[in-house]
Amino acid sequence: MEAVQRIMAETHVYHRRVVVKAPHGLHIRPCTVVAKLASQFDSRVRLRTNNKLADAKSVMDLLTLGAEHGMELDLEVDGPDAPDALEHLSALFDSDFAAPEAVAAQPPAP
Amino acid sequence: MKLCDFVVADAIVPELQAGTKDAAIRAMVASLAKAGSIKAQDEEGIVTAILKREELGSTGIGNGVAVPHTKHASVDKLIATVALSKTGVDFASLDGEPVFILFLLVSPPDRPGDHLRALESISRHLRNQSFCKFLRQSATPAAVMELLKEADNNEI
Repeated sequence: MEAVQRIMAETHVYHRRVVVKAPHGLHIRPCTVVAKLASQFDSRVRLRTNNKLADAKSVMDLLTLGAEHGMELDLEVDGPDAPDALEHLSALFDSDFAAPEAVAAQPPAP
Repeated sequence: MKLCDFVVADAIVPELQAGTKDAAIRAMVASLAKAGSIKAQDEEGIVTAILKREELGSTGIGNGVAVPHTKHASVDKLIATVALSKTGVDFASLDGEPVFILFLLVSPPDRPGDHLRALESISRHLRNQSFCKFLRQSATPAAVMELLKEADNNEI
Protein backbone atom coordinates (compact mmCIF):
# COMPACT_ATOMS: atom_id res chain seq x y z
CA MET A 1 0.00 0.00 0.00
CA GLU A 2 2.81 2.37 0.90
CA ALA A 3 4.61 1.74 -2.40
CA VAL A 4 1.43 2.44 -4.37
CA GLN A 5 0.87 5.69 -2.47
CA ARG A 6 4.44 6.75 -3.15
CA ILE A 7 4.07 6.07 -6.88
CA MET A 8 0.84 8.07 -6.94
CA ALA A 9 2.55 10.92 -5.11
CA GLU A 10 5.33 10.91 -7.68
CA THR A 11 3.08 11.27 -10.73
CA HIS A 12 0.35 13.47 -9.34
CA VAL A 13 0.53 17.16 -10.23
CA TYR A 14 -0.20 19.29 -7.19
CA HIS A 15 -1.76 22.71 -7.73
CA ARG A 16 -2.14 25.72 -5.50
CA ARG A 17 -3.15 29.31 -6.16
CA VAL A 18 -0.69 31.83 -4.81
CA VAL A 19 -0.92 35.59 -4.83
CA VAL A 20 1.96 37.99 -5.37
CA LYS A 21 1.93 40.12 -2.25
CA ALA A 22 5.35 41.64 -2.86
CA PRO A 23 4.57 45.36 -3.26
CA HIS A 24 6.65 45.81 -6.43
CA GLY A 25 5.89 42.43 -7.95
CA LEU A 26 8.30 39.62 -8.75
CA HIS A 27 11.44 41.49 -9.75
CA ILE A 28 14.91 39.98 -9.59
CA ARG A 29 15.28 39.67 -5.83
CA PRO A 30 12.01 37.83 -5.10
CA CYS A 31 12.54 35.69 -8.23
CA THR A 32 15.95 34.71 -6.88
CA VAL A 33 14.40 33.69 -3.56
CA VAL A 34 11.75 31.59 -5.33
CA ALA A 35 14.31 29.94 -7.61
CA LYS A 36 16.68 29.14 -4.73
CA LEU A 37 13.89 27.53 -2.73
CA ALA A 38 12.38 25.63 -5.68
CA SER A 39 15.82 24.31 -6.61
CA GLN A 40 16.12 22.61 -3.22
CA PHE A 41 13.50 20.11 -4.33
CA ASP A 42 13.78 17.22 -6.78
CA SER A 43 10.27 17.78 -8.11
CA ARG A 44 9.41 19.86 -11.13
CA VAL A 45 8.08 23.23 -9.91
CA ARG A 46 6.30 25.62 -12.24
CA LEU A 47 4.32 28.84 -11.98
CA ARG A 48 1.55 29.58 -14.43
CA THR A 49 -0.35 32.72 -15.32
CA ASN A 50 -3.17 32.84 -17.86
CA ASN A 51 -0.91 32.42 -20.82
CA LYS A 52 2.60 31.83 -19.49
CA LEU A 53 4.36 28.93 -17.81
CA ALA A 54 7.67 29.34 -16.00
CA ASP A 55 10.16 26.91 -14.52
CA ALA A 56 10.32 28.16 -10.93
CA LYS A 57 13.94 27.02 -10.63
CA SER A 58 15.02 29.56 -13.24
CA VAL A 59 15.21 33.27 -12.41
CA MET A 60 15.08 34.15 -16.09
CA ASP A 61 11.91 32.08 -16.60
CA LEU A 62 10.27 33.63 -13.54
CA LEU A 63 10.98 37.14 -14.81
CA THR A 64 9.07 36.39 -18.02
CA LEU A 65 5.87 36.18 -15.95
CA GLY A 66 6.05 39.92 -15.30
CA ALA A 67 4.13 39.10 -12.13
CA GLU A 68 2.81 42.32 -10.64
CA HIS A 69 1.57 42.92 -7.13
CA GLY A 70 -1.80 41.27 -6.67
CA MET A 71 -1.42 38.83 -9.55
CA GLU A 72 -2.66 35.28 -8.94
CA LEU A 73 -0.39 32.48 -10.06
CA ASP A 74 -0.95 28.75 -10.26
CA LEU A 75 1.79 26.78 -8.52
CA GLU A 76 2.22 23.35 -10.15
CA VAL A 77 4.44 20.72 -8.60
CA ASP A 78 5.04 17.10 -9.54
CA GLY A 79 7.69 14.65 -8.43
CA PRO A 80 9.01 12.69 -5.48
CA ASP A 81 8.92 15.53 -2.92
CA ALA A 82 5.99 17.42 -4.41
CA PRO A 83 3.89 17.86 -1.23
CA ASP A 84 6.89 19.33 0.60
CA ALA A 85 7.77 21.60 -2.31
CA LEU A 86 4.17 22.79 -2.53
CA GLU A 87 4.02 23.64 1.19
CA HIS A 88 7.37 25.43 1.28
CA LEU A 89 6.68 27.49 -1.83
CA SER A 90 3.16 28.50 -0.86
CA ALA A 91 4.47 29.47 2.58
CA LEU A 92 7.03 31.67 0.84
CA PHE A 93 4.32 33.49 -1.13
CA ASP A 94 2.10 33.75 1.98
CA SER A 95 4.95 35.25 3.96
CA ASP A 96 5.21 37.98 1.34
CA PHE A 97 8.93 37.19 1.11
CA ALA A 98 9.16 39.09 4.40
CA ALA A 99 11.47 36.61 6.02
CA PRO A 100 12.67 34.49 3.11
CA GLU A 101 15.66 33.26 5.08
CA ALA A 102 13.31 31.86 7.73
CA VAL A 103 11.26 29.94 5.20
CA ALA A 104 14.09 28.84 2.97
CA ALA A 105 16.21 27.77 5.93
CA GLN A 106 13.77 25.04 6.90
CA PRO A 107 15.33 22.00 5.28
CA PRO A 108 13.00 20.05 3.02
CA ALA A 109 12.06 16.66 4.44
CA PRO A 110 14.27 13.89 3.02
CA MET B 1 7.30 47.05 -23.41
CA LYS B 2 9.59 46.94 -26.44
CA LEU B 3 13.37 46.81 -26.02
CA CYS B 4 13.74 49.70 -28.46
CA ASP B 5 11.52 51.79 -26.19
CA PHE B 6 14.12 51.95 -23.47
CA VAL B 7 17.53 50.84 -24.77
CA VAL B 8 19.60 53.91 -25.69
CA ALA B 9 21.17 53.12 -29.06
CA ASP B 10 24.07 55.53 -28.62
CA ALA B 11 25.01 53.98 -25.30
CA ILE B 12 25.35 50.39 -26.51
CA VAL B 13 28.77 48.81 -25.84
CA PRO B 14 29.25 45.94 -28.31
CA GLU B 15 32.81 45.19 -27.21
CA LEU B 16 33.00 45.56 -23.46
CA GLN B 17 36.63 45.56 -22.43
CA ALA B 18 36.01 45.57 -18.69
CA GLY B 19 37.09 42.42 -16.91
CA THR B 20 35.45 42.98 -13.54
CA LYS B 21 31.89 43.62 -12.38
CA ASP B 22 32.87 47.05 -11.06
CA ALA B 23 34.58 48.11 -14.29
CA ALA B 24 31.72 46.75 -16.42
CA ILE B 25 29.13 48.75 -14.53
CA ARG B 26 31.27 51.89 -14.66
CA ALA B 27 31.79 51.52 -18.40
CA MET B 28 28.08 51.10 -19.08
CA VAL B 29 27.07 54.08 -16.94
CA ALA B 30 29.80 56.16 -18.58
CA SER B 31 28.37 55.19 -21.93
CA LEU B 32 24.92 56.43 -20.89
CA ALA B 33 26.49 59.71 -19.76
CA LYS B 34 28.36 60.06 -23.05
CA ALA B 35 25.10 59.47 -24.92
CA GLY B 36 23.53 62.29 -22.92
CA SER B 37 20.96 60.05 -21.24
CA ILE B 38 22.26 60.81 -17.78
CA LYS B 39 24.04 63.90 -16.55
CA ALA B 40 27.76 63.74 -15.93
CA GLN B 41 27.22 64.93 -12.34
CA ASP B 42 24.93 61.94 -11.68
CA GLU B 43 27.30 59.32 -13.08
CA GLU B 44 29.11 58.52 -9.86
CA GLY B 45 25.91 58.42 -7.81
CA ILE B 46 24.32 56.00 -10.24
CA VAL B 47 27.37 53.72 -10.25
CA THR B 48 27.38 53.71 -6.45
CA ALA B 49 23.66 52.88 -6.32
CA ILE B 50 24.04 50.01 -8.78
CA LEU B 51 27.00 48.55 -6.88
CA LYS B 52 25.04 48.84 -3.65
CA ARG B 53 22.18 46.90 -5.20
CA GLU B 54 24.65 44.20 -6.28
CA GLU B 55 25.67 43.77 -2.65
CA LEU B 56 22.10 42.70 -1.82
CA GLY B 57 22.37 39.93 -4.37
CA SER B 58 23.97 39.50 -7.76
CA THR B 59 21.93 40.41 -10.81
CA GLY B 60 23.88 37.76 -12.70
CA ILE B 61 20.75 35.68 -13.18
CA GLY B 62 22.37 32.79 -15.02
CA ASN B 63 22.83 31.74 -18.65
CA GLY B 64 25.58 34.34 -19.13
CA VAL B 65 23.26 37.26 -18.44
CA ALA B 66 23.41 40.14 -15.95
CA VAL B 67 20.84 42.87 -15.32
CA PRO B 68 22.48 45.48 -13.05
CA HIS B 69 20.07 48.28 -12.23
CA THR B 70 18.99 51.05 -9.91
CA LYS B 71 16.28 53.62 -9.40
CA HIS B 72 17.54 57.18 -9.59
CA ALA B 73 15.71 60.47 -9.20
CA SER B 74 17.64 62.07 -12.06
CA VAL B 75 15.82 60.11 -14.80
CA ASP B 76 12.20 60.69 -15.70
CA LYS B 77 11.75 57.48 -17.63
CA LEU B 78 13.40 54.07 -17.64
CA ILE B 79 16.55 53.90 -19.77
CA ALA B 80 18.95 51.06 -20.45
CA THR B 81 22.04 50.08 -22.29
CA VAL B 82 23.41 46.78 -23.54
CA ALA B 83 27.00 45.60 -23.29
CA LEU B 84 28.51 42.47 -24.79
CA SER B 85 31.67 40.85 -23.46
CA LYS B 86 33.68 38.42 -25.57
CA THR B 87 35.74 37.05 -22.70
CA GLY B 88 33.09 37.13 -19.99
CA VAL B 89 32.82 39.08 -16.75
CA ASP B 90 32.76 37.51 -13.30
CA PHE B 91 29.47 38.78 -11.88
CA ALA B 92 29.21 36.38 -8.93
CA SER B 93 26.27 34.95 -10.86
CA LEU B 94 23.77 32.56 -9.37
CA ASP B 95 25.06 29.73 -11.58
CA GLY B 96 28.73 30.53 -10.97
CA GLU B 97 29.33 31.30 -14.64
CA PRO B 98 30.69 34.49 -16.23
CA VAL B 99 28.32 36.88 -18.02
CA PHE B 100 28.54 37.83 -21.69
CA ILE B 101 25.35 39.87 -22.10
CA LEU B 102 24.62 42.78 -19.77
CA PHE B 103 21.53 44.98 -19.69
CA LEU B 104 21.95 47.94 -17.33
CA LEU B 105 18.74 49.73 -16.30
CA VAL B 106 18.18 53.09 -14.61
CA SER B 107 14.58 53.89 -13.72
CA PRO B 108 12.66 56.68 -11.99
CA PRO B 109 12.04 55.95 -8.29
CA ASP B 110 8.25 55.83 -8.50
CA ARG B 111 7.73 53.46 -11.46
CA PRO B 112 8.20 49.85 -10.26
CA GLY B 113 5.78 48.66 -12.96
CA ASP B 114 8.04 49.92 -15.73
CA HIS B 115 11.02 48.16 -14.18
CA LEU B 116 9.07 44.89 -14.00
CA ARG B 117 7.89 45.21 -17.60
CA ALA B 118 11.43 45.92 -18.80
CA LEU B 119 12.67 42.80 -17.00
CA GLU B 120 9.81 40.81 -18.54
CA SER B 121 10.78 41.99 -22.02
CA ILE B 122 14.50 41.39 -21.52
CA SER B 123 14.04 37.91 -20.05
CA ARG B 124 11.51 36.88 -22.70
CA HIS B 125 14.00 37.60 -25.47
CA LEU B 126 17.07 36.28 -23.67
CA ARG B 127 15.31 32.99 -23.10
CA ASN B 128 15.57 32.58 -26.87
CA GLN B 129 18.94 30.95 -27.61
CA SER B 130 19.02 32.29 -31.17
CA PHE B 131 18.56 35.83 -29.91
CA CYS B 132 21.46 35.39 -27.48
CA LYS B 133 23.65 33.91 -30.18
CA PHE B 134 22.95 36.72 -32.64
CA LEU B 135 23.35 39.32 -29.91
CA ARG B 136 26.79 38.05 -28.97
CA GLN B 137 27.77 38.15 -32.64
CA SER B 138 26.75 41.79 -33.09
CA ALA B 139 29.79 43.96 -33.66
CA THR B 140 28.32 47.48 -33.68
CA PRO B 141 25.69 49.46 -31.76
CA ALA B 142 23.66 49.65 -34.98
CA ALA B 143 23.75 45.88 -35.40
CA VAL B 144 22.63 45.40 -31.80
CA MET B 145 19.80 47.89 -32.23
CA GLU B 146 18.68 46.18 -35.45
CA LEU B 147 18.56 42.88 -33.60
CA LEU B 148 16.55 44.35 -30.75
CA LYS B 149 14.09 45.72 -33.28
CA GLU B 150 13.72 42.30 -34.90
CA ALA B 151 13.20 40.73 -31.49
CA ASP B 152 10.54 43.33 -30.66
CA ASN B 153 8.76 42.39 -33.90
CA ASN B 154 9.01 38.70 -33.02
CA GLU B 155 11.13 38.06 -36.08
CA ILE B 156 13.69 35.89 -34.25
